[in-house]
Amino acid sequence: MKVNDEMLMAFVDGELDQATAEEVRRATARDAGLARRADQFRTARQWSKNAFADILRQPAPERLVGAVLGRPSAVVPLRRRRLPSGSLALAASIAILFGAAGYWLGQQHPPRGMALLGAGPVAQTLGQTPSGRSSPVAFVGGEMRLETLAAHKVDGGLCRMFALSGGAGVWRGVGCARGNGWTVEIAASVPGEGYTPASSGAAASIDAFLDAAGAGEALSPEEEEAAARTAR
Amino acid sequence: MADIRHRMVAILPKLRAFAHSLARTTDGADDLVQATCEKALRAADTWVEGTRLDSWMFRIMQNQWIDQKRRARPQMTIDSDSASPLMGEDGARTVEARMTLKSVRDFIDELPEEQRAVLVLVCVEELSYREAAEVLDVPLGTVMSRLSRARSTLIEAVEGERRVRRTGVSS
Repeated sequence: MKVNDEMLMAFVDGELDQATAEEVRRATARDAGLARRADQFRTARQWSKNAFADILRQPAPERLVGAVLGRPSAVVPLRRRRLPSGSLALAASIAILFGAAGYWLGQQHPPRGMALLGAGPVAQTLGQTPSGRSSPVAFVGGEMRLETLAAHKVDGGLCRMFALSGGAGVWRGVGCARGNGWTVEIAASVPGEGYTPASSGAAASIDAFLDAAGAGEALSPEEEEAAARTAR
Repeated sequence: MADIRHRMVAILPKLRAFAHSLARTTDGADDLVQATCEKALRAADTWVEGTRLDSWMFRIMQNQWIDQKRRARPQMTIDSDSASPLMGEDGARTVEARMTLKSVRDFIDELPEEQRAVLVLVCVEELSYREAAEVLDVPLGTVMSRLSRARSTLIEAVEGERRVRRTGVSS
């Protein structure tokens, strides 16, 4: 069998049937040139994926979220928006949170130097903190405590819900590993300590976010450990 | 309906990535995503529950893009996002080349559009060859040949760039 570029590419992409894949595998084991070429195709795939990683991580602009949800008035600049309190705001806050993939809710900003959203230290810590555990997160001028509350499988990966608390305030949020590393996708500042009625809007919205991400029941510690092993 | 809207919001980043591969500018891509979402919402009842929403919307986007290009008068667009500094045209060229090393994204942007689309659908959006063929409405063999050409070009371009970086000599 003559192994050409397209076959090598389909081989590394897992697109060949078993018998053909086996033949190609044998051919690459015999021929270093073929093996190198296959490796190049694999690398080019990874390069392409990496080249678009920033777009895949970026929060979608509010105008797009507004266009989809059909409630442009609900999608106002979030950084200045007060966290809506009580259940009447639930519908609006769902809209905000979806729009807010990458924004935080509430009037309180995270401390300077603490990248709460995206692939920052909070996301990294979250990736290493299974449910029920907590870890410190350092930022310029202080430290907060991250507690992982639950883990859920979602479309394309694993998400963890967390609470982050310290002198600078209390936040709740969700971070996920969906093929591009751990990223905090949403976060809401919770006024006051604990689960006051005012925080129920944030909690419900985070639940709604998980629902839309395809999250099922919270994982057991064993399930979470298994899922975390392959989460990237 | 509310449900499909939320699912659409959840895949907006994926839609933006494919839109970038077609439009190549951030504004152009977001306009394309918006037009695609509006079209998809109007046709929401034709989406089959249980099938991939992203593939369905990529296909709408691909058609939207073709329509848009057909309607647009031929024009030169200046891409302010990716505009790179002009390269020197004299002896300073080598130095310039080293200073303005291109990223993989730049090389992808330079591929022919049909190759970019298939590259992004398979390597970034992780569609299977068959799914990509359905989105683009081309035979499977076409997907494979375009994808293989795109990746070969990318390999050569990046390796060429690395040679320049190593030796300071552009070939």
